[in-house]
Amino acid sequence: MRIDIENMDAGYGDKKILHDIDLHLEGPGLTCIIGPNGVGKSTLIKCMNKLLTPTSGKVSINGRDISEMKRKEVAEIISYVPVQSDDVFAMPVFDTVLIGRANKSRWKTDPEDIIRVKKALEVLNLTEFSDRPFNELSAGQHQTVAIARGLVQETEILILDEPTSNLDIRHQIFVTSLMHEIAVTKGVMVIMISHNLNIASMFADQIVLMEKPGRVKQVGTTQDVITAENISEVYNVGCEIITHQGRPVMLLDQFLY
Amino acid sequence: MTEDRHAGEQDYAKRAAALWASPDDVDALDSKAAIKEYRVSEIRKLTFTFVCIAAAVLVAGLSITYGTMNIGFFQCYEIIWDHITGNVEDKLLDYIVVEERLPRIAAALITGAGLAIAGCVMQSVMKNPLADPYTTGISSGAGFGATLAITLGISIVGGNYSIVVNAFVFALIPMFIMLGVGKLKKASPTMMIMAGIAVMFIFNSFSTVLKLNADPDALAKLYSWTVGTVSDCSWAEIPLMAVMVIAGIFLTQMFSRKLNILATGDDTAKSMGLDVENMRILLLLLISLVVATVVSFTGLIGFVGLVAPHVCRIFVGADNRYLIISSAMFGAVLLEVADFIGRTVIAPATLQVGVVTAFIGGPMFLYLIMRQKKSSW
Repeated sequence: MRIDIENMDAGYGDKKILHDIDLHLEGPGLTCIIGPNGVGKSTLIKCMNKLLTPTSGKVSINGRDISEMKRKEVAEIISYVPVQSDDVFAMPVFDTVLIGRANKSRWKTDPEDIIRVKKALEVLNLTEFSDRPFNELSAGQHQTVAIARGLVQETEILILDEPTSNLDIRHQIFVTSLMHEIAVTKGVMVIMISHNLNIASMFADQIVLMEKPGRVKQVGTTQDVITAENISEVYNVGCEIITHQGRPVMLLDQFLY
Repeated sequence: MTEDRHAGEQDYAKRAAALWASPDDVDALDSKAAIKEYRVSEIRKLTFTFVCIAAAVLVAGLSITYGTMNIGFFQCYEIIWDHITGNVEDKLLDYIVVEERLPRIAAALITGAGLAIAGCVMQSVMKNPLADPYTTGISSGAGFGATLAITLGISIVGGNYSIVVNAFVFALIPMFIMLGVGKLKKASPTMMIMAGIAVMFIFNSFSTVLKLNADPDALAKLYSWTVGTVSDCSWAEIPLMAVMVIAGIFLTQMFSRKLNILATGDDTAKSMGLDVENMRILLLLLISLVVATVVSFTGLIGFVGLVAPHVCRIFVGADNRYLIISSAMFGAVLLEVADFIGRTVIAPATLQVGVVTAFIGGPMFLYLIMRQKKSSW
């Protein structure tokens, strides 16, 4: 499984966000996309699964040009977990996750669908919320339910837009580690945007570092990418990098103005 | 990955392995319990729909018994059965039940069901609890069409159906404007609703201008049409109304799973393979045809489309697979009850059904707002 992006520009209307992106990702494994706010991380992943059409360049999934693929064909390969989900008419958590099975099941819910949802809820510690309306959950729980909905789609590529942004540190580790294990155990290519560099460093197999104005600065292992030079250059933050359990860990130093 | 990376990683690995269970897991004991629990919840949701159907049959019986000539509760079912099987014993009673009283009951059931699925689908498609035929401008369009025919005599076709055809055609115009705005500007559902409200004001202002110079007879006729009634419906109109509403229920029910996907948000729905924009247009077009048909015959009946889906969400939840059909049945009963109240509450005079639904619907909607736990709805 692979995603190839070649010479891609993308944006919204006249506003260009991404510039000349050349990125080649291969799975299975966990890839974390990091970079400052507004650099185009969400725009990049939206181009990967046809939510946004690039203004120029080419995006391919498993060698097929995405512009020539139907939306449904893309959905069979990639599932997507947005940073926020709508909850105007909220269903119970179980039914919310069950929607993820819509492409695989018939009108009547199959026993297999029920089991898949049950397992996903168990894996994400959501069983006790199974009957609770989705809109009565916390923001963090919302995100975890959305992840469960993404997981039950059982696609070979899973893309998550900041899945840990509303989670406490324990749950950030939980979700990121779980994504890594799903990548390893199930042979899935997981791509997630993360703002917690240390947690990304703990579990990512590959890091994509983005910089302003909407470019990919570097792609590589955590050791290659998470360096003091890169962090100060991209985030304008001073730091010291130490190695813990074979992985780089960032110790914040000071802001650089 | 290596075990030394994180203390609890072994646990995560087990969790990950538990995902996407093999089909054998379906037979596991806890799985069987989960499947049974889900099936029970499905039956619970369907039960509400069956209760509404039973209530519709009962209220129909009650409604038929009431009138200048007393007919027994069970007798009315016998008369209908005899009529269906061709064994009519008393021609007068048969005429009163089948020709006089049954058409308005059938019209109330069909119209109630049509307006309720319209509200239900509009609310789900627009992700807005206030969406209904009024806020999307359909009713005001129909109202303007009728006003044009009644006050100025301008109609697309002549004869008995001048008001009906005018109302039908003009009811579709706001929806086309709304869909046009949606398509051209790639508008969000909220923007589309706002466009619907803008069109509603435009049509209402035109209607007001026409009323200013109308003669009293035309005004009385217009008032009667505007408040909505099923009393004028006869068997001549009911087949068309029934075909449109039944087709509407059937088709929206077919799209109910896609409506559920739509409810997750546009980006998620697109990522799941749904053509969001076209699905929205298709469903709104379908539902506007249903509404245009029923309101062109009955006039403007408010609150059913708004309130019925909200009441049903209390009993069956927001899953459109169950919500659409239950809304249809509840809407049918609601309008049937409203019509019965209208016929009995100030007898021998009658209140038009649109007035009764406004009386019932307003407080009911207030109650629904008060019982909501979340401020956002």
